Amino acid sequence: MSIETDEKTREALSHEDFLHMATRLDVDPDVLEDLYPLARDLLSFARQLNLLAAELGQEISEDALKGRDPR
Amino acid sequence: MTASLHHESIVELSDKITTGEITSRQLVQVCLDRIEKFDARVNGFVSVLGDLALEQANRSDRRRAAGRPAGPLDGIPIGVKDSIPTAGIRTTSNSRVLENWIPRCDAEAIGRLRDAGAIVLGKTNLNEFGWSLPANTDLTPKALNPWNTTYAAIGSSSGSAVSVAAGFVAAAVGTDGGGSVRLPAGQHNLIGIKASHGTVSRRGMGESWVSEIAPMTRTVADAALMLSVMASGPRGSSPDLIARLDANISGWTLGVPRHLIDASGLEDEVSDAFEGSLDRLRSLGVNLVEVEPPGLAEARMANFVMLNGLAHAAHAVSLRTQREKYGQSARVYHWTGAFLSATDLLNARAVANRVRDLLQQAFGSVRALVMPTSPVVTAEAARNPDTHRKGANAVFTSPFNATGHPAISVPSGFSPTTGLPIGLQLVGPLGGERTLLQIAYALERLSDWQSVRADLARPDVASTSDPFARPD
Repeated sequence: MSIETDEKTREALSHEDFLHMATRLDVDPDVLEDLYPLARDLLSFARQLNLLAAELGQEISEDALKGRDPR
Repeated sequence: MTASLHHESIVELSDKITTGEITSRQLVQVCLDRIEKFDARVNGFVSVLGDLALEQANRSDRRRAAGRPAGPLDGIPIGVKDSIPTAGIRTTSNSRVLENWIPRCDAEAIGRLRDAGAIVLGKTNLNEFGWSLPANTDLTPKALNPWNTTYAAIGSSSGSAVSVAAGFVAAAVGTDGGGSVRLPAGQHNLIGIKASHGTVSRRGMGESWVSEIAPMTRTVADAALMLSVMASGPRGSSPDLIARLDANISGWTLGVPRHLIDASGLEDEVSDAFEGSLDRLRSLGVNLVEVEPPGLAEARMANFVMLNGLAHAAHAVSLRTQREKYGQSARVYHWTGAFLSATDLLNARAVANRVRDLLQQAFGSVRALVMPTSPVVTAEAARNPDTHRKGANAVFTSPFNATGHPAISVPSGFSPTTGLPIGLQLVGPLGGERTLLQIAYALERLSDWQSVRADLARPDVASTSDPFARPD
């Protein structure tokens, strides 16, 4: 986990970036193929949640918490 | 005398033991005989504790004879999910990583049940660590649904639901991090209640932001009794959730989050069962209003992020040192969270907390929310890899793990094509367990589903012309 990782969540995780991160994390090579779609979808969720983060002294906007596809 | 004991409720069994109609030893033996006869068909258990359970039953009978029962569960056999530590009893999480682990202490919630006299008859099955897709190579093969054994049981507390629905134990305990008690309860015609976050201690199991230890039972009164015993606070001063179960709910207002339901990809059979349950609530005098609490989609995403992060954190060392002992799916699922940052996790928690506060405000105008427990009927549909990897099977359950609100799954009918039960979920305000149990109790009295049993004595449905046989 690192600041660099957090920056990556601001856009969809490309396969190339995924492999780069997996190498740094020392992930077992034989799970990479199965792991990529899970990591990509998970970081997509994290990216959407990070975009909701409020400025200091403010609450997360209620309006920003409406209308998203529940699936 | 003992012919139908395996399907009776805790309350009924306790009465029979108290009056001397049966002994705990007879009850435990009936359950062990049934497990011996049928568990190979459904894989409800990882371990069965025959001799230990009989020894505890003898002690219970001696306490009863001396007029000193241990508590309201004295002599009642229960199952405990094999991921929950039990003192002196092997606890594997259905993984070769923990194949020989024998905890020294009970998880606090299990200790409370044992203090009240409950007998742990066995450790129930789950997919490896409750965070994987089940595979034939798991330590114990995947649990199958007693209502139709051609289908798997929804998890992760699948064996706990199977063991109650099959009549192996009177009740069982599971863990619910995204719906893992409510979803299998719904699919097995059972009651499953996840209490408000922090109500049931996780001491002895490791803390979690989102996962709760929770009971599964055949009746609402049994759920109230189990939760009363498991709830935190000084031992011996548990809340009495059975009191006032029979409240008149006529005139109560419940909220239906219609947008969430309509956008969830609900299967037709689930939709039909849900509308039927709404009709039953109306017949009880309940007012139903459409509501749209903000943030439920975001809460589901936040829950999924937190579950992945917590799962990886717990396994970060063992994934490297014992990699060969993990199943392939468990390794993939536990590595996923490694890609998250600390900021990702904390922002997810901040969103969950914000939705918690907004949802709590929504309960100012409704007593509870009502929705299906699962959007799909079968475990096979729930485990579709394209949706399971995003947690879409838990669209109705996981938001309330993130927010910490209490939720209960109650029977809502049966799938005409598979014969599998379908669940209805009620969600209440923080601390609103009693309200949920009262609504559930009123619904229970309105149907006879509680008396309908899974029939394991019938031939394999796959080899007959049984109308519940799986369509191709």
